[in-house]
Amino acid sequence: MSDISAEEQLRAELAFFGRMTASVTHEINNCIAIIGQVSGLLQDLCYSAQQGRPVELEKLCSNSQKVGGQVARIQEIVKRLNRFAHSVDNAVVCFNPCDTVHNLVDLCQRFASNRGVTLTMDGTLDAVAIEGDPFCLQQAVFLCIDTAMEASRDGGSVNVSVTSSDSGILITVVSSAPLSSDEHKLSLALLECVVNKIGGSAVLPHTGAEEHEFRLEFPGKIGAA
Amino acid sequence: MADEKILLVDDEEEFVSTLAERIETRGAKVVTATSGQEAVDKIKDENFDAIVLDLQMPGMNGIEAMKSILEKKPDMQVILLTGYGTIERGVEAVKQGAMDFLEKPIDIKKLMEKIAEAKSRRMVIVEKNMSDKMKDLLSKRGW
Repeated sequence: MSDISAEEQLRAELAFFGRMTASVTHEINNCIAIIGQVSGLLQDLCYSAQQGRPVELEKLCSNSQKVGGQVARIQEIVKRLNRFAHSVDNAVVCFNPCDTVHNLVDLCQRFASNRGVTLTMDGTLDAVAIEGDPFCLQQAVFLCIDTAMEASRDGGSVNVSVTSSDSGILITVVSSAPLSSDEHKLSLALLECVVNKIGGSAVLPHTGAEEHEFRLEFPGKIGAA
Repeated sequence: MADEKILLVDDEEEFVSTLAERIETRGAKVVTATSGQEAVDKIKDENFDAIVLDLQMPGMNGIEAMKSILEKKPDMQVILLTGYGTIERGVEAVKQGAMDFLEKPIDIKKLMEKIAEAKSRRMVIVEKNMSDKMKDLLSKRGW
């Protein structure tokens, strides 16, 4: 059905993993840069105190809070990345797709922010499980989100939702902007390929409409998580 | 060193406020901005000895902001801050008009050296521009 070779598929999987890792490490680096400056500022204050100048307690407290805030931020980022990294552990596993997609959406917030896009997620299905490859599912959803965000640059919005369907779960990605003609052809072809690989089906958006929607359906069991 | 006037631009507010305080402790005056657009707006009415600009920002990124700044005020000296894997983009930015780039997390001593260098370079450019203007004026008036 697709003219994408196995080598190209493998390359696309690595590229997806690489983009996520690069983005997360950039974010961690920003936190480290802040902690580094706060540390430097505290050294400045120590030097100042050694010269006999009084040190404001309030300044020490606020900077200590800054460090605490950035450490908490790093912990959250690392938790998300760790969860994402473990999604390649097993090709077939029973998992909650809602939690997995939620983690992916959190990881995509930096891409959204860099493009000036508001990325949101609706829906929580507590007791739902599907059997399959969580990494491939994330790759499929990411291709939708990435394509939708690219079309929605500078002020648009993208919404992701996970709901139950007759045969399992339905993931929709809706963009407030039209999908332009040919530029997304490759990612759409790849998307079909990835969705088929994990036994799902995809309804892809038409180009030119005022807004566009991706619909991905995967077989699963509600109440089986 | 003292008396430099710097525009510091980064979308991370805590980074901007902390680094600004450290630079001010070293005798320079700092104006801050948290977006490329805000930086472009601030250079309209003010001059700076150096602009320290983060490469990766939401909306208008560092390169776009730098291009817009240099279009309006070509004598401005831009020092770009890059993250992991963006050193190539830093090199590219220098080709496009940045004075230099530094990799995050930055060392304050290196940054202050770059700022001093930026001020010297800008003074040379401003003096040359003034001298050219004077020569032009003198030749036109025939004095």
